[in-house]
Amino acid sequence: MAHGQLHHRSGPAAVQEHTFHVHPVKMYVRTVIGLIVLMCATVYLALIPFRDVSIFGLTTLPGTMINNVIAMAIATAKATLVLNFFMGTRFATRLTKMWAFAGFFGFSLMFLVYGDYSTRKYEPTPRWSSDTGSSLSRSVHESREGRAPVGESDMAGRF
Amino acid sequence: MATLAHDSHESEMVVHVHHQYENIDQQNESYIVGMWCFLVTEIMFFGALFLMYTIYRWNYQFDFYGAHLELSQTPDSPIVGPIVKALGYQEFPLWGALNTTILLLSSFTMVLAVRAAQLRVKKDVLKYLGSTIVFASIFLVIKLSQEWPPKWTHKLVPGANFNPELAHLHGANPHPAELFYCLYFAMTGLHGIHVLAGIGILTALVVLWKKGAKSVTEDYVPTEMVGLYWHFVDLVWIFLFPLFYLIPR
Amino acid sequence: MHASDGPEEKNYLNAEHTVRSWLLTGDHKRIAILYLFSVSFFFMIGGTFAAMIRLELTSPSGVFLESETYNKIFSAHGIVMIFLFLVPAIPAVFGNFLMPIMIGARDLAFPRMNLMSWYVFMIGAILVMTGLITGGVDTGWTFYTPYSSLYSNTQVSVVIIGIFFAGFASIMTGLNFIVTVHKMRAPGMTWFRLPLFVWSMYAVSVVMLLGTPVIAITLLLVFAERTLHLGVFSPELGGDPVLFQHMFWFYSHPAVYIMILPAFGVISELMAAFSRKRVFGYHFVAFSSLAIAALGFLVWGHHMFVSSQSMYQGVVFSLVSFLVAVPSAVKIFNWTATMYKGTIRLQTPMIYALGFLGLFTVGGLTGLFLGCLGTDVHLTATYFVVAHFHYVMVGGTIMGFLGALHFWWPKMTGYMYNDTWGKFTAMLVFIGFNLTFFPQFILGYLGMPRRYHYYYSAPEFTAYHIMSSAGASALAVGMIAPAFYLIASIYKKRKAGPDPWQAHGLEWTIPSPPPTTNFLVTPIVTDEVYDYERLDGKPEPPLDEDEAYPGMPSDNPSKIAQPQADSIEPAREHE
Repeated sequence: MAHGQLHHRSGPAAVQEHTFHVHPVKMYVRTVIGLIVLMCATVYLALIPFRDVSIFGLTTLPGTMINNVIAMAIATAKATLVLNFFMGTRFATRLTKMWAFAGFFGFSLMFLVYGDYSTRKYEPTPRWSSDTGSSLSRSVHESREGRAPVGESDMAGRF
Repeated sequence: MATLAHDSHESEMVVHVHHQYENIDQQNESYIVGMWCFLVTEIMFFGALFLMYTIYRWNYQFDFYGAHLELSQTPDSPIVGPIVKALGYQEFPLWGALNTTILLLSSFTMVLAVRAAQLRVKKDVLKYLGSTIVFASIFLVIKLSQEWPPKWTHKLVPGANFNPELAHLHGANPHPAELFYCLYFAMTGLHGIHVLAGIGILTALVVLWKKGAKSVTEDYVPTEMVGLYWHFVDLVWIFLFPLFYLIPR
Repeated sequence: MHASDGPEEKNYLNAEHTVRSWLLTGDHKRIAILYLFSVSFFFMIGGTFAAMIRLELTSPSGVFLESETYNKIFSAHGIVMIFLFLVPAIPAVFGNFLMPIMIGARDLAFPRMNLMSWYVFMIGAILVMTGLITGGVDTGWTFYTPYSSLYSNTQVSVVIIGIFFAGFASIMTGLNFIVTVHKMRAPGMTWFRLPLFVWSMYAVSVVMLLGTPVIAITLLLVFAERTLHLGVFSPELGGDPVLFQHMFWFYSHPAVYIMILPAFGVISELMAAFSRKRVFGYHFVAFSSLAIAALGFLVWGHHMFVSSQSMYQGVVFSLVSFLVAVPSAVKIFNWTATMYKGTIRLQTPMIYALGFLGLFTVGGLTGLFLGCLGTDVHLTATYFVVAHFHYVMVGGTIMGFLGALHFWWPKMTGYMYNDTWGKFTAMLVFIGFNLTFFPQFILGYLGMPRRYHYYYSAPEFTAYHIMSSAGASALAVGMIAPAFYLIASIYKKRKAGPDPWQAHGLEWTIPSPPPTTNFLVTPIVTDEVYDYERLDGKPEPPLDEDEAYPGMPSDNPSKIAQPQADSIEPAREHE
C-alpha cells in the first residue's frame, strides 16, 4: 500500500510526519463491481412477483412486502459499500464515524411520524361519512386491484 | 500568520496550514469532519422527502404502483425498446437502471481522482475528474431528454396541466397519481439540482487543478471533500432508484 | 482600570479601520459584532410589531388595524423575532465571540464560512423584510397548509425563501461550532474542563445541524406548491396537511431548544461568576444540555394535539414532553444550589440571571400544563400558549441575551457601563415583562383565543389586555434603554481592563478588547473549570486526611514512621 507523506512544521516544534493511506485501485474496482452486481440483482428481484407467505398459519405476509424488504436491503448494502469504501468511513477517525452515524440516526427519528398514521385507524372517534368530494374519506377499503379507477382510491381512509 | 510546511520530496511542495490550526493533521481532520457535518444536513434535507414519500406510498400502494409503471420502458419504447424486448420483459426500468449504473461509475472515477490527488498525479486527477463530469452530464442528459419530457407530453406534470390518458396511469387513480408525480419531480428534481451543482463544483476543481492552484494541488483534502459530496449524491440516488422505479406489484 | 497614557493596544477593533476590513473579516469577534448589529436591528423591528399588537388589543373592538392587517402584523412579529432574532442571537453573537476564546483557540475552524453565514443571514433577512414590507404574510409564522400553500394571496413565497437562507446561516454556524469544539481545544482543555457555555453551544449546534434542514425542505415544498404546483400537502390530491405540521414542528420544536439552550449556557456562566462558586453538579448540567438536545427531537407532536393526529401518538408525545422538562429542571435546581453559600454580588448580569431563574421556571411549568393532553384541549390556541412561550423565550432567552450582553460588554468593547443604570433597567424589564405576560395566562385560561384582534364579545377581558399593554410599554422602555447606556459607555471611555468581574475563564485572562489572535501564546489549561476557590485565594481543600488532621497518627501505611535503619548500621559510615 502506497503511503503519501506530508511533513509539516508546527510552531517552534520540530518537523513532524503525517502519513495517510493511499488505497489500492483494486479495492475500488472490487467495490464498484459489487455495486453494479447489486444493482442488477435489485432490478431482477424487483420484477419477480413473490407469492404471499403465511407464517405458521397465523398471518400472511404479502408478497410485495418481500419485494420491498429485498429492495431496501440491497439498497442498504450498496449504501454501506459506498459509505465504507468510497467515502472512506471504514478507515476514518472515530469522530467521522460518529457524525456519519448521527446523520442516519437523525434521519430515523423522523419516522416516528408513522406512529401517528398507523394508529389513526384505532381511534374511537366516529368515522366521517364517505364524501366523494373529499379524498379524505375515513372508511377503509380493501385493495382496489382490478377495479376501475373512480373517485376514491384504495385505502384512502387511512387518513 | 500562516504556517508553511515542507514535504520531503525533492520538489519543494509547501502545504499551507491556516492560522487557526496547529498542524496539517488538525486542519485536514477538521475539514473532513466539517464536510461530514454538512452531509448530515443533506441527509436530513432529503430524509424529510423520503419520509413523505414512504407515508404516501404506504397509503396509496396500488396507485403508486400503477403510476410508477410509466417510469419503466416497454418493448415499444423509443431507442431502448429492442433492448427491453431482448431482455425478455414487458416492463423494465431501463433508463433508471442505466442512470444508476452511470452514477455508480461516476463515483468510481471520483474516488480514483481523489486517490490520484493523494499521489499528486495531476494528469490522472484531470482524467478522472473529467470522466466524473462526463458521467454526471450523461445522467442529466438522460434525465432531461428521455425521462422528463415524456411526462410533459403525456400531461403527467402536476398542476393545471395534469390530464393524462388512462393508459399512462396504468390503473392508478388520477389524484394519488398526481401525488406520485409531485413527489417524483420534487425528489428527482432536487437530486438533479445537486448533480448540477456537483458538476459545477467538479468543473471548478478541474480548472483549479489545471492551473496548478496550490489550494488543491498541495493537499488532497479539498478534492476529497468534493469526493464526499459526490458520493453522497450517488448515495441518494441509490435509495431513490428502488423507491421510484422498483415498486412491486 | 488604569488608563495607559501610551498608544492604544492593538486589539480586534482597531486592528484595521476600513469598512472593507470589517465586511471581509475572518475574525470571529468582528463577525460577532456584525451579528450583534443585525440581530439588535431586527429585534427592534420585531418589537415594533409587538407594540402594534399590544396597542391594537387595548380595545375590545380593535384600535387601528383591520383583521387582515392584524394577521400580517402578528405573523411578521413571529417571523422576525424567531428567525431573525431568537435563533441567531446568543449563538451567533456570543457563541461566535466567546467560544473560541473559552476553549483557547485562535479562531473558529472555518472563519470564511463564518463570514459567509453572516452574509447568507443578511440575504435571508433582507428577503424576509422585503416580503413583509411589500405586503406581508398572513399565515402566522407557522405557515400551516393548505392555507399557505394554496389559498393565501400574500408574500408567502418571498418570505419563505428568506427564511430558507436564514436557516442556512444557522446551519453554517452550527457546523463551525461543532468542528471547533471537537478539534480546536487548547492543550489541557478536556471536555469536562469546558465552561458550560461551550457545552450548551455544542448542544445547540447539534440541534441546528439536524433540525434546520427539515424546515428548509418543508418550507421549500410549500414554495414549490405555490409556484410549481407540486401539491404534496394538498387535500384535493389526497395529500395530508397535517403532514406539513409534522414536518414543520419536527424542526420548530427543537428550534425552541435552539433558542433556550444558549441562554442556559449564559446563565451557568453568570451564576458561577456572581456567586463566586463552581456550578453545582457540573456534569449533570453538561449532560442535561445534551439530553435536552436529544429529547427535544421526540416531542414535536405536542404542538399538534388537536390537529387530528392520532391520540395514541398524542399520548406518547405528552409523555416525552414531560420527560424533556426534567433536564431543564435539573439545571434550575443546580443553579439554585450554586448560589447556596456563595458570595452573591447583585450586579446587572446577576439581576438578569435571577430574573431568568424565576421567569423560566414559570414558563417551564406552564409548558407542562400544555404538554398534558387533557388540559391542552382547553388551553391550546389561547393566550395561555402565548404567555407560556413568551415566558420562556423572553423571560428566558432574552434575559439570557441581556445578561450576556451586560456580562461580556466590557470584554467586547473594553469599556464598563454604569451599573446603576443597568440594574434599574433590569428591574424595569422584569416588572414590565411580568405585567405584560402574567395577565395573559389568565386571559388564556378564561378563553381568549390567540391571534384575534378583537374580543368585543368578551369585554371582561379588557382590563387584562390593558394591564398587558401597559406592561408592554414598560418592557419596551427597558429593552431600548440598554442601547443608550451601553453605547454611552463607549463614549465615556471608562476602561474595564481584562477582568472587571474577577471571573474565572480563559476569556478573562486576555485583554479587553481582545487582540485579533486572542492568545499570544496557546494557553495550556490546568485549572479545573470555575475554580473560584483558588481564584479567591481560599485555602486549598486538604488533599487527604493527614493534611486535614495534622496532629493525628496517620492510617496510611506508607506514612507510618519506620524504625530508623541507620541507627543499627555500624559506625563505619562516618569514615
